[in-house]
Amino acid sequence: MLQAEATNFVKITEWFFLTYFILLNGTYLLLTLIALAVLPRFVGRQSIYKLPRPQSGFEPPVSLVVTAFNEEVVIIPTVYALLQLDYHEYEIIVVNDGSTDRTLEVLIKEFNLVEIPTAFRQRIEHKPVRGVYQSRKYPSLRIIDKENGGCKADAANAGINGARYGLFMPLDADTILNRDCLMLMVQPFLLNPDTVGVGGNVRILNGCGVLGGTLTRIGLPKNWLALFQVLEYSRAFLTSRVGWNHIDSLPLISGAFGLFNKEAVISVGGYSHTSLGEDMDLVLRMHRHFRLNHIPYRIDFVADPVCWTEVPETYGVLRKQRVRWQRGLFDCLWENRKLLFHPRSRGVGWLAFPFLLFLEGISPIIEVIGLVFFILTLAIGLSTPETVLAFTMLSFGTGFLLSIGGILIEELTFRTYPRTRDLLMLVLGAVVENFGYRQLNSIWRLEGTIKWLLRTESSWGVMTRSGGWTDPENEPTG
Amino acid sequence: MEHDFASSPVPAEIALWTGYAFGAVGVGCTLLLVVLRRRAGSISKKRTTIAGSLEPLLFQATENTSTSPEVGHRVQAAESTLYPEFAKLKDPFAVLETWNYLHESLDGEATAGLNRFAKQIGIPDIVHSMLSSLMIDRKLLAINTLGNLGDRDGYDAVAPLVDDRDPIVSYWSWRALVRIDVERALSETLVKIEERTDWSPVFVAEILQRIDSDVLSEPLCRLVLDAYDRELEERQMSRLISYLAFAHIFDSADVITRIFTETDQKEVLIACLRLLPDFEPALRPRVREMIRDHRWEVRLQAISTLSRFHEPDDLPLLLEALDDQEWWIRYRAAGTILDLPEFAENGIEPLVNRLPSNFARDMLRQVAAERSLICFKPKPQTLSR
Repeated sequence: MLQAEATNFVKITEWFFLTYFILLNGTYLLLTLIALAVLPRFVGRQSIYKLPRPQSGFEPPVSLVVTAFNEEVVIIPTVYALLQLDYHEYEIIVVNDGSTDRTLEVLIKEFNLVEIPTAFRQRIEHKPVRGVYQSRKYPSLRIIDKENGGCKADAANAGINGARYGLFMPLDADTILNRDCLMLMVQPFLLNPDTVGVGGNVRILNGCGVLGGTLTRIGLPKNWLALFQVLEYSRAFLTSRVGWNHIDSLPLISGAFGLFNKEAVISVGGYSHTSLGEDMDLVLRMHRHFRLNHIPYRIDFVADPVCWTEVPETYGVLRKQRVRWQRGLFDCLWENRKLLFHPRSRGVGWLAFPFLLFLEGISPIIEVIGLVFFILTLAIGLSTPETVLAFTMLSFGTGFLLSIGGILIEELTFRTYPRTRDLLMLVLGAVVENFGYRQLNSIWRLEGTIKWLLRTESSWGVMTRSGGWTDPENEPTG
Repeated sequence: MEHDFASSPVPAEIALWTGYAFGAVGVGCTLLLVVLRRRAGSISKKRTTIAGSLEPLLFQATENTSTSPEVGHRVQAAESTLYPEFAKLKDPFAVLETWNYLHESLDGEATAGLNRFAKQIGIPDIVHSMLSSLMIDRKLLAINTLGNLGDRDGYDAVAPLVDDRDPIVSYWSWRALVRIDVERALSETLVKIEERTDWSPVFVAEILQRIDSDVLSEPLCRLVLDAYDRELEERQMSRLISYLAFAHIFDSADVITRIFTETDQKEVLIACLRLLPDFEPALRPRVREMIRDHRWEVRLQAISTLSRFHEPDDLPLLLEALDDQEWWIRYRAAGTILDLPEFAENGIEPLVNRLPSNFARDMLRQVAAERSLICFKPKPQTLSR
């Protein structure tokens, strides 16, 4: 009797895991197929812009807002790189978020900064500003020195308040932008005046060579963790974002690379101080505000403007990042729960939001429980090795296919990594990541979920920058 | 294949076979990747070879003017050997790309040499057939090539594409038409800049600013007035008015004056204020009135317009604006005050000390400090989005 009930329970549980798995990965596959259909045509359309065209001078000016907390190692090359962008009018605002290292000092010295009296307007909340500095060498460079706000959102809000132009781009201090990226990012704003935000493509800097703040060589990282993240970013930006964007339901613009209409962001109160996923929270809040109030708007994603950023190469830093991302995800979903199945929320509330909550959000719980379930049932004889192998095969096959899908889209469109050796390394990475890395990720995300549920104290953690790419003598060889 | 799924065979069977299938598709995609990479490598090699042999010829062609017969002979000889090679090419994309790249970088006589070279090697025939290509990059390149060639035959081939659903195709087609025959394009298709709301105003501006204003002014002013009389939607109207920046100021002045004095639409007023001619003193009282308009965007643009007049009598109005609740208005007012001859010479300290409001004082000090560093001054934007 007990044996029969246990077998029945195992059978139902297996069906549950299978259904869940098909729904989750079916959605990923669908997004990949959409991207496969959409992206090559998009790239074809953009090809004409490779021809030399003088800028008309009527492109809207842009404020670049670089948030910096203890970034003395990377801030100078980053600012130099930003000064070299190919765009007719933009300003750079570095927000020194109460750094305890020499970030402000190195900036003052390098760029000949002088403090100027400022009538600072505070339209959205942040910690007090201590001073505003202007460069004598580069008139478009200003530094806002403020008290530490404990989160990136606080610094970004200060930058938005200090920005002079209608469009702003929040950036991290370790970001390298392609020189033409602003011209590409403003296109959706030019084509549709209702555009409030545009996301761009983020790629991984580890393994690349940078000289004087400019990318000189593209390569893959030698570190396996970073290599797996190359695959993750490729899946996220070239499949998921493109797919969601195609059905007008983009739930996220990366905090590392986006361009926003300043007034639209201010109208929703700027970045949230309480959310650990302040970038997703902002986008969801804009969807909620504009869609639920019948205000026409558009949030877009363009795949060709590229920014390069450094990713963690150690388990400790990566774990902290993933825990924070998972907590951030639930913060955002909880704060914007009104969107869920709201009659006016359309694709965002009926497709993207439920996917993020019921499939992606809780996936680490299901995956870890699944792992434990199969080990236990196998141990007590309720499952056979063949069953466990079948589900393992499913997990491996799907993971491999999704990663290869991302690489294939990359190959059909941008072919970022020109060396065949790099391509083969990516394929190898797509195989190896299924044995340990994905499971680790699930465990870290489960930890994030538990911490969110228990509301343990959240902190921003520190992203340790190797800054290896900032030193021309120390160019990584990839 | 037999499997022993003791607990529950169906989900395990599904899982296994789905896993196999996905894995197999993944392997298939990997093979496809390798094939694509090899193909891309050979295409790239071929293109590099063609571009390598073509580039010197193209550069020679740019020098092939009537004054250099020696170069002309060299090019002719090279063309006769290149034509059969080019005609055999299955993929002329690289050639066209190189040719267009060079064409867009050059002007005048040099482009005439390139066009003659293109005709010698049969490019027009190839691009006509590429116009119907399903591959959009090829189609766009063909449109652009015909525009650069400037042949009247190309006009009729490209004209229908101006109505293409894809804004990129239609916009590039219009650009090509303007390059082929500007007068015909303006008379037949200028109205597209009003109709095609999906065209970026920046792209349109790029084309308009390359057209001789003697040719452009009359049809553009007529289009704007006609649209105004038809009560075109506000945003569209403001966009059209912005394009008047590319017409002769004496032609557009009447149009702008009429609209400015009659309208009360915010966007339209702002567009007019941006282009308001300085030589019409009769309009200045209305500009001054607008410094007290209830819409801050109008007040802001009115101050920017006022700043062009440099009239010391405007100081009381500017001081009033220095207390405005909008930061940008205070900022622009401070800049305008500093541009007045009196303060440019004597500094602002006496004035700052006289001001009753902290807001006004802080703003004047900030702008004065920025000016002392040769700080950036936001350029006035002529186009409305």
